[in-house]
Amino acid sequence: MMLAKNAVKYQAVLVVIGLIISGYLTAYHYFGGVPLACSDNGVVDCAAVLVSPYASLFGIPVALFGVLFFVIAIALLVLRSREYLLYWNTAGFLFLFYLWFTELALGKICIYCTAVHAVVILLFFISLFTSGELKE
Amino acid sequence: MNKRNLAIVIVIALVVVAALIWTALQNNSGAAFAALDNVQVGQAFLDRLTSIPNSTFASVGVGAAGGSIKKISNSPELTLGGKPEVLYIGAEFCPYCAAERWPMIIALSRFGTFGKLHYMTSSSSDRYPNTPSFTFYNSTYTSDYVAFVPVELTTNRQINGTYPTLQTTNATEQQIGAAFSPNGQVSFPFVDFGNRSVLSGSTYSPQVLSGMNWTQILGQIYQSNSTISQSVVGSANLLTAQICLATNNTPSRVCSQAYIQRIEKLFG
Repeated sequence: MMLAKNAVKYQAVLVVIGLIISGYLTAYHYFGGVPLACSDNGVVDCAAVLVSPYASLFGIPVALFGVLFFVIAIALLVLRSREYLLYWNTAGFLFLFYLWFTELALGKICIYCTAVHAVVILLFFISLFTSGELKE
Repeated sequence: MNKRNLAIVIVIALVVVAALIWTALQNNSGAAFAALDNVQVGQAFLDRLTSIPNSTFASVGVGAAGGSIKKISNSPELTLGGKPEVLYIGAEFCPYCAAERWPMIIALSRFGTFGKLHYMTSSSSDRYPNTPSFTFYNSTYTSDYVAFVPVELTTNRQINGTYPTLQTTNATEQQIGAAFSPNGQVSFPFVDFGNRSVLSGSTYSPQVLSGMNWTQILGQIYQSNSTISQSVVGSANLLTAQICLATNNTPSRVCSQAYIQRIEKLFG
């Protein structure tokens, strides 16, 4: 099947995209002067999400956790560890529910965050559908 | 692939997510705001707080700001390093200071740059408990136009019934506070704008900020019709006009704005 045959390539592309966006959001958190090309009023308000208390966990920017997530995903892809990549992508997918809760609490959406969420969702489903038979 | 391991990963992740959500729900409360006391304000937040569009300032004008600003006549200028000095005397416990720091930061940022600002909440046992704000203690400010001298007299947490001392005023600052305060009693916050005008007390009520966290307040500041914007941005315009009077209307990009000129006329 096309998906199974090219899963690694698709995931590699997605991981790089996720890493670039997470890196950009991390730079915005630390350097502020990085321009944020995004609406700043209405429901789509990237700055409101990115400067909120929810943008950090235990004092560390959530975006940096994103960078870490994609770096580890790259490592697992390089090691061709489909099983651990599935576990990792599953954990990342479930973590999205917390991030969606925070956007709901703020009443704001960050389009860059949404792009990263989409990457994680795709990574999860590619891993799930190409993981082969799951043993008991 | 091992289904059992996958199930374990799913359960662990769900427990972590539930814990994070529960924590987030607890953290949006006044008492929980205090957890951010003395945490340094991130650059992204500070940039957003100090990047309010000129159109918002113009739209709000004086807004809902008021308070007690008095013009001073026949007094020598208050300067430091050849620049007009803006002297602030307040305290971390003080809810009125908590309210006033928002427009002070906005106003002063039009003349210079703050660094090392930290979050702070007002006293939990005073009126308007845990008002979200900042502290000027250990902050830095650089400007070509004005010298900002903040004095935060005490912390926000009582020990044995009193608030521990953070900073003290020098003899000159004490004289200024006594000379320009009603009955010689300094009302917090006290702000002297180069001895051209003084503010005693806050320009709006801390009640305006009640129930909001920093992010919500910042979001409301950008909505010019909101109560918070009318109060905070209106106050920032009032304070900006006082600074402009002290700096002889420099820089012109700030002081020549029509809404600033209108406010200056209110003070003769």
